[in-house]
Amino acid sequence: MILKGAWDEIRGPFLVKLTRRNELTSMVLAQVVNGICWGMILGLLALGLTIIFGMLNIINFAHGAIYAISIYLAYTSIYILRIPIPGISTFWGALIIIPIFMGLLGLVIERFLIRPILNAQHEYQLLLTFSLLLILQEAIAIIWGTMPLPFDSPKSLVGVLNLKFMVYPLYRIFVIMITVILAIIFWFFLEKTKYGSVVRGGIEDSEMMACLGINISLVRNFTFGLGIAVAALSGVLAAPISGTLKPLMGMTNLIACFVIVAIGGLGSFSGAIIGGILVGVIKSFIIMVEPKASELAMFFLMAIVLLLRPRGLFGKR
Amino acid sequence: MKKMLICLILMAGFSIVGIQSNARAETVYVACIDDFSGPYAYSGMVYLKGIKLALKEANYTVLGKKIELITRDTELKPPVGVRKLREVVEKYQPFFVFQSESSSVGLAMAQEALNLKTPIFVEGFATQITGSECNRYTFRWDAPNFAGARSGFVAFLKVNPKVKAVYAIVDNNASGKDMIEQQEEIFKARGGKIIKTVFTPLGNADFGSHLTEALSLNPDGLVFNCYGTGNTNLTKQIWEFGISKKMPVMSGFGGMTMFRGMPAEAPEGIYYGVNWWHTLDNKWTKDFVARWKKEYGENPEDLGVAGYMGMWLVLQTAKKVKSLKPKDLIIGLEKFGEFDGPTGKEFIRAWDHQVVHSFQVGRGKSVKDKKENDDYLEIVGSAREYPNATPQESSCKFKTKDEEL
Repeated sequence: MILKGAWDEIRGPFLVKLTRRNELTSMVLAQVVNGICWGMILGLLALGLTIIFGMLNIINFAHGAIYAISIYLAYTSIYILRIPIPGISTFWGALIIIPIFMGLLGLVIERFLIRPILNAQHEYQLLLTFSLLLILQEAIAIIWGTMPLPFDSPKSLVGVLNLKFMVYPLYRIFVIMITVILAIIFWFFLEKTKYGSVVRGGIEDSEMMACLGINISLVRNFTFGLGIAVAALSGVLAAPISGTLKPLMGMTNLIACFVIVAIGGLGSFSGAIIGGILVGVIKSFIIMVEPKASELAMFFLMAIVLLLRPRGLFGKR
Repeated sequence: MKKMLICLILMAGFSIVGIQSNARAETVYVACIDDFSGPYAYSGMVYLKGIKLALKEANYTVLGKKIELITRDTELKPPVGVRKLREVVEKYQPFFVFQSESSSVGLAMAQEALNLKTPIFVEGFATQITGSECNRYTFRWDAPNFAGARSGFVAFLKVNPKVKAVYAIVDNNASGKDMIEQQEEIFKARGGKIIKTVFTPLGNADFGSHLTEALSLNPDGLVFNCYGTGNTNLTKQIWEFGISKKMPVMSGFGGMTMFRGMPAEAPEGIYYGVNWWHTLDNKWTKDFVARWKKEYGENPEDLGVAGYMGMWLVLQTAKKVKSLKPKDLIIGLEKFGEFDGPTGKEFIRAWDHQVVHSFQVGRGKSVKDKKENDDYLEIVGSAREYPNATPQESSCKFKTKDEEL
């Protein structure tokens, strides 16, 4: 009897400690998964920004507005027009159509707006992309209004999956999986194909590529379109989990994107993805402790990285 | 001849000024200085619709004078609200001002209204508005959080007696903080414990981190006091994470527009506190819903009712006291007496300017139980619990001498 009492005394706190450790582990893992989910979306968005910067040497301030307008276009195609694509539900249809449409729009923007000022001073380029940002934001407010609009997950991905250490919404797991697949595709495209090597070469030294007989204007045009399409893709993917739709919704993510590009290194594919994950995970942890500090945390991370490695984690220049 | 001409011109000038000032005297002003941008934007729009309906029903006239409605956006920032209030009072001298939802903005504007000696209806939920920070120029129709917690949260705990530890997600503003304090007081008295309270920015978009943390901590229930788009986003994500199926969930605040922004299945099973709901079984509600639908083609919500009631009470008082002077309106409202309101018999407490009415708690309906798109809630409780039954107990201590107005 006495022995049992003593055993209970030892076992009790041990079990509590064990349970707490399990709770803590599951909490940490849960935050990592959550951080990766958002980090991958931001990474994808930053990827578009970084390849545009790398290739065209232009900071595209309109990137956040492109992200936002893609979400609004997806909303229109799903909830208003209900674009019928045989065999594909409207969400999946939007996921395919909107990035293609925006990519084509990107080609037009590059040809008629960016190209004429490509060799002008940086101030002109900044003014142009910044005014594009304002125009697109105002266009959203005029066309769709300022009232928040809903955007639901596709019906086939409603529900949760038990990951043992946590339950997590199916759609968010899908986002992680699809962004990982997309990252692999982009990596393969940029690292293992002839066109990818042209783009990388252009990012490194576009004048040299032109001297080698590459039609650099065409490459720039395509790269800008690709960057815009990637932003649109991340927008449509993020739409069901980014809260109600608001005209200024791209701004917060644009700032995060600049931070990611600075952390990862300008023009770096790996930098954008790794930087995105780092920012996502850090924000996810800090928000648990002090929500107000979560936005600041990424700037601290950026400051530390830039102090230790001014080129960013994977930057070459 | 030249002198005569100058005299004629001057006389003509004075008469024009006189005519203009007479015309101006025929127009009186009311102002709605509210949140028309940011996460509470739509609440401002709905509140304004209520004011407009009351004005339309009065043909935009009072005591034979034309009423003009002035609107300004507070941008959900207290200093902006105060600045706009000063500007409007200086320019138009409105006989009443209206503001809704943001308690932080409302509290700041109420203090400024006192300084400017301009009466105001402030519809934030913070208990202080008609409590410790009350003043003689401020009135409110919305129930304070004190009433919301004692009606809504108590009803939630009665239905879910096993809830002893909750995780709380709260808007980082005066109303959110006040509501969680009220809830904590009730919960502690019943032996319950809030294991963690997270204060989030207004209109927050992603609550994934908090919800995964809540699931890891495994509480008995989840409470959230977020308003506007924050409420919409959080309810949607609670549903996505399957939390409302796992544990009882209560939201201190609810509203039609917030529900319309989320999937129809999302609010199912969640408890929401509301000042009024369009399916309440009383004559006032039935008539009002019909009039609102005719005007706007949709169902009304409690914010619209708050706007309507504020304006209606002011216009009725003006007719009774036959004056639009602040002093007469304030005294008139204090002596208004009992009236048939949205929730049944209602009255204005003269000593803190709070309109006393019952507060409702509703439970989110399943999609198959809904009779129409807006049939989100089943009202499961209603109570009339207000702080301080007597002026002596009240923390509201404004000067009551009429000559000081």
